[in-house]
Amino acid sequence: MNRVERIEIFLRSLLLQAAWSYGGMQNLGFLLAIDPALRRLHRGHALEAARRRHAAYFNTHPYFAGYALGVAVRMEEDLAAGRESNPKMIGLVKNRMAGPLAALGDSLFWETLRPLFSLSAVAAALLAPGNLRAGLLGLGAFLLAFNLPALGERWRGIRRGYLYGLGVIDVLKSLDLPGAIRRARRWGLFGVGVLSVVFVVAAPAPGISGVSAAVLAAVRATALAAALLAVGRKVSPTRIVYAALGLGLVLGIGGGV
Amino acid sequence: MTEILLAAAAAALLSLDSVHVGQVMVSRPVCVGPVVGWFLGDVSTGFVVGALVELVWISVLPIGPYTPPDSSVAAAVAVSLAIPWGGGAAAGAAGIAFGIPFGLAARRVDVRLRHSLTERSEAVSADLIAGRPAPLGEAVVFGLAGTAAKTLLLVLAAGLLGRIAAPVAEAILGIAGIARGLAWGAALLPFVGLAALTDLLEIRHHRVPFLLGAVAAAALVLLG
Repeated sequence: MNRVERIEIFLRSLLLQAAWSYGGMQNLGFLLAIDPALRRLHRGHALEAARRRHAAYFNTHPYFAGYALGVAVRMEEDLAAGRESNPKMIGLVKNRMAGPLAALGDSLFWETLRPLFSLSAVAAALLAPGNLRAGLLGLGAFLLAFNLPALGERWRGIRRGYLYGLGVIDVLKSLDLPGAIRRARRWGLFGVGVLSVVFVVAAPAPGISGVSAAVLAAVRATALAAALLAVGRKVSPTRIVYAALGLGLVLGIGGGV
Repeated sequence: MTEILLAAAAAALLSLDSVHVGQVMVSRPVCVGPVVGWFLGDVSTGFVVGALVELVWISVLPIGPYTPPDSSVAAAVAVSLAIPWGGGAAAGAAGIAFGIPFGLAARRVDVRLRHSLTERSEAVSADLIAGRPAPLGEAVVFGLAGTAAKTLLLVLAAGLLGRIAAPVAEAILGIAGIARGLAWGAALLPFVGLAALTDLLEIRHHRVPFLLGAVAAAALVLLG
C-alpha cells in the first residue's frame, strides 16, 4: 500500500457509516473504503470474490476501523501473493478484531473524550453568554482537542494495521489505552467538580432578578443534588430535563422567586 | 422565509456528520446551535441553546445498533423556535422543551432509514454474489440524502410553525411568572448534564477527584 492509496482509503473511511444499516452495519462503508486496494490486488473473479468478502457484516468503532482496514489490506496482499491460502481468514480476523476495537473506541472517544472536551464549548457559552469570542474559542477548542486524536487514530490505524498485521493487537495493548482512559476520567471528574461549583455560585442567571445570590446558589445546589440522585437511579435524561423545566416553572409562577 | 430555509439547509448539511460523514463533531448541538442562530440573526441565543441541548443527552451514546435521539435536530429546532420567540433564557428554555420531541421524532425516522438501508445492503450483497454491478454508490447516496432530507424537513417545519406561533408564544412568554419560571428552568438545566456526566465518567470509582475539584473551586470562590 503506497501513500496515495493510504490517503484514498483514509478519505473513503470517513464514509464508513454512510450506508449504516441494522443488517450489515458498516459493511458497505468498509467495502467502499477498502475498494482501491482490492482493485489494485485482484482482477476478474478474484476481485468479485474479494468484494463479496468485504460486503459481509462488519461493525466497530469508526475511529478504530482503520486498524481493521490496514490488517485487511495486508491480508488481501498476502492472498494475492499466495502467502495466504484461505480467504475466509480475512473475514474471520476482521470480525474478531471488531469487538475489542469497538470497546476501546466507545470507552475512549464516546464515553470520555467527547463529553469532556465538549464541556469547553458548553462552559464558554453558558458562563459568558453574549460573548461571541468566548463562544467561538470554546467551540474551536472542543473541535480541535477532539479531532486531533480522533482523526489521528483513523490515519494511524490504517498504517499500523498494515505494518503489523495481526500483531497490531499487541501494539494496541502496549499503549495501555485503558490506563489512559482511567486517568482521563479522573482528571475529567476533577474538571466536572470545578464546573459544578462554578455553575452553582458564579454562572450568570439571565431572566432571574430580585433573588439573592445565596438563594440562587441554594436552589442550584439542590438541583445538582437532585439530578445526581436521579441519574444514579437511572432516570432517563429527557425526563430529568422536563422535571427541571417544571421545577423552574413552579419556582417562577408558584414560588414567586 | 429565506433565512429559515438556509438555516434548515445548514442544519441538514451538518447533521450528516453525526453518523454518515466524518464524525468530526460539527453535528453536535454546541456547533449546530450557533450556526442556525447565525442564519436566523442571533448567534448568542444559538450558542446558549446549543450548549443546553448538548447537555441534555451528553451521556447518551451511539453504541452498537442503538439509535440515539437526534440532538442535531433538537438543537436546530430549539434555536429556530427560540429566536422568533424573542431569544433569551425563557424563549431558549421553551425552544428546548419543543425541540426535544423533534429530536425523538427524528430518531424514529433514523430507525426507518436504517431498515431501508438493510434492504439495500442485502441487494448489494446479492448483486455481488450474482456477479452483477453492485449499486454501492446508490446505497451511500440514499443514506446521505435520507438523513439530510429528514433534518431539512423537520427544521423547516419547526421554523415555519415557530414563525406562525410567534405572536402567541411572545404573549405567553410576556407573562412575568412564566418568563421567570422558564428562565429558572434554563438556569437548572446545566446540572442535569453535569450529573449525567459524573455517571458516565464512573464517579462511583473516582469520587475523590470530583470532590477535590469541587473543594478547589469553592476555595477559589471564597478567596475571591
